[in-house]
Amino acid sequence: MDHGENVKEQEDPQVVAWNRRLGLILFAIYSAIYAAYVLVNTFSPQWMDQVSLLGLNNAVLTGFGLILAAIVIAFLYGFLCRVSRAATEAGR
Amino acid sequence: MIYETNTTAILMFSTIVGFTLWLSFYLGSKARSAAGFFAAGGSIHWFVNGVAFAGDYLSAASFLGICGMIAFYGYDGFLYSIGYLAGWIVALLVIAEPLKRLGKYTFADALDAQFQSRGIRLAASLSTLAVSIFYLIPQMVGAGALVQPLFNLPHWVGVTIVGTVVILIVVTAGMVSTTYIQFIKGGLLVLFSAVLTVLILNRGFTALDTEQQALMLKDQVVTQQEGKTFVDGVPQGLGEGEKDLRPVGHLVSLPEGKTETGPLGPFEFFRVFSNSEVALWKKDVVDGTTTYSAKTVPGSEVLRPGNYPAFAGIRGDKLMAKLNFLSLMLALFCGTAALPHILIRYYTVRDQLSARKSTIVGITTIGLFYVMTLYLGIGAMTSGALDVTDTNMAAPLLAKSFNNLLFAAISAIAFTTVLGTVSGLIIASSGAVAHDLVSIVVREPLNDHSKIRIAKITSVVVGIIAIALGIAFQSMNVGYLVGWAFSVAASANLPALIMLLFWERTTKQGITASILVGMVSSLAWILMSGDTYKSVYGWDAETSIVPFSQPGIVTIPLSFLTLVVVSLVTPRNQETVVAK
Repeated sequence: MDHGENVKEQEDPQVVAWNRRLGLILFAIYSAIYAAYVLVNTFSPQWMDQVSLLGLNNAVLTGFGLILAAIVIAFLYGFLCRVSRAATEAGR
Repeated sequence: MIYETNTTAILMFSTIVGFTLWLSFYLGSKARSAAGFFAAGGSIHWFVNGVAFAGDYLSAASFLGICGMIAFYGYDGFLYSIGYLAGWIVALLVIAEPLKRLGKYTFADALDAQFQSRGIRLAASLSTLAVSIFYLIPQMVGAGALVQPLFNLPHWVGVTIVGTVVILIVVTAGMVSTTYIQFIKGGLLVLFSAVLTVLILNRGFTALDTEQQALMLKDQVVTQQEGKTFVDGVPQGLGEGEKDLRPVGHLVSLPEGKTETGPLGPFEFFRVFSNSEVALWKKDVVDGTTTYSAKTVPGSEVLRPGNYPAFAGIRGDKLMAKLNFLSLMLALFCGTAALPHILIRYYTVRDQLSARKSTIVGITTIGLFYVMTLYLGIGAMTSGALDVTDTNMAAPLLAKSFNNLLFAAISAIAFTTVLGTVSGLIIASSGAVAHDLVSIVVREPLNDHSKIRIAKITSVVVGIIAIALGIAFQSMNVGYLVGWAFSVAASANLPALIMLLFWERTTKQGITASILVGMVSSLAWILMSGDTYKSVYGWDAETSIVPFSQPGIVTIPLSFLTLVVVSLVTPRNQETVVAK
């Protein structure tokens, strides 16, 4: 199965800069969520025991929430990233 | 526990593993160049590579280790799922595209792209070897655990079989076959985990009645006398006049005095479990006598953090115990984007856009699997099929509680999981030696044939080391062992990668020092930790030199600090400044 050769891309600096900034912003958002989750588990684990929604405790809810948030952020990044013209043409 | 073999299960297992090997050899015969061997010629489709990411990443630690930890200790195993997935965000948003832009075959390529420094190549290849070997240990331990219930073979035989087969795969194939094996295996793993999850929800919960409780929750005592094993004072065996350990994993009571629930919805499953009581087993060893005893615990206490012995400190007052937990979660977050066998997968796709797309596919596939780990773990905890002596067998034994065919399929997939991950790790190690380490010693560039020959010899050596370590670490939970590999990777590799990409003042001396300090400090910390004292050396954990077992919270910042200080005191000339 051949899917094309490995290529060295011609980069558009503006596209690279936009994507990098977008990546860092989303990274900061997710890092903050993850840090909050870990800190609550560490210093206030009893909060995780409380039942708050759908009869589930905060530990289960926030755990599933973090996994879901990672998937959403990944798709958001893929959707908002810009693609250089060279890459678009190569993909045709 | 002693397992009875089942011919149908063995046949199905052999068919799946045999097909995987055939595919490996067939595809391997097509990869003749170094680019083909190490990076599949950059020719893999992004979707295939994305699922292969999942195949690489959902190793024995995820499938066997996490499920086992949840099955025996509850929510704490799920913390690993969350940490492992969060690490992918670092890989996608910070590392993936620049790494693809800078590298060719190995992680050292990216670090060394602007410097052409022998020091960087040496440090990066050594850290690749260290991380890969650390990551290999749990895979081999998991392989041994899988073969035990299926073939009733000793653990060391399973480890040796996997080691031998993987060496065969790698020396005959390379990255193309490893990628397609990971693609098939990653897809099958998620698919069969979904099947198991549906079956768990459909089965619901059943509680023991009073009579069963008296029988199933009794202590089990194991002693060794003159080389023989006795269970409750009777020789261990399945024949007449012999006795084996009972399978464990039962609900003691359900809400409103029910004895069974029937099918449950995905949220109802946790609601009902929270309001039930479950039997958890603990092990005490006194003067060579091992006693396994059950303790009835409310489900609500199982679905919360702090039950696993290493994490219990988060519910206490000791700052060091809390730091240990923080340290692990930091290492899981930072470790993924620094694992050599994950990083080299970025070189198997065509361009940066493909690198990004394949990471998104990988995150989605891995995320779906990790959601299911909580169902699989709790399902195993209440399956009545667990082996009280081995947390790593929870997932295959859960499948066995449904039927032998599912058990064979799950075991085969888990076995190919180990094969694939070990192959990837050995390729990363052999690449580090053949492509990086040898180029430091031999000044003249090697041709493709020589590189591949050196890589194959390295594969055999690393494979043998992995077999030996897999036998030595048999008793440890594979998920926990992988946590250490993440700590070493995050300490040695991530600071150098991040600073190379985001700090213009980074110098080659800074990168080299950062990798070496991160690697040596994290390895030294692990070797001097209480967990290693207790589980590996058999010493008193309280006498350990370091205050807690997980090194990341100290060694990751130390590695960053080393890079900054060394970069500031070394010359910032045209050759050594990072090109943005």
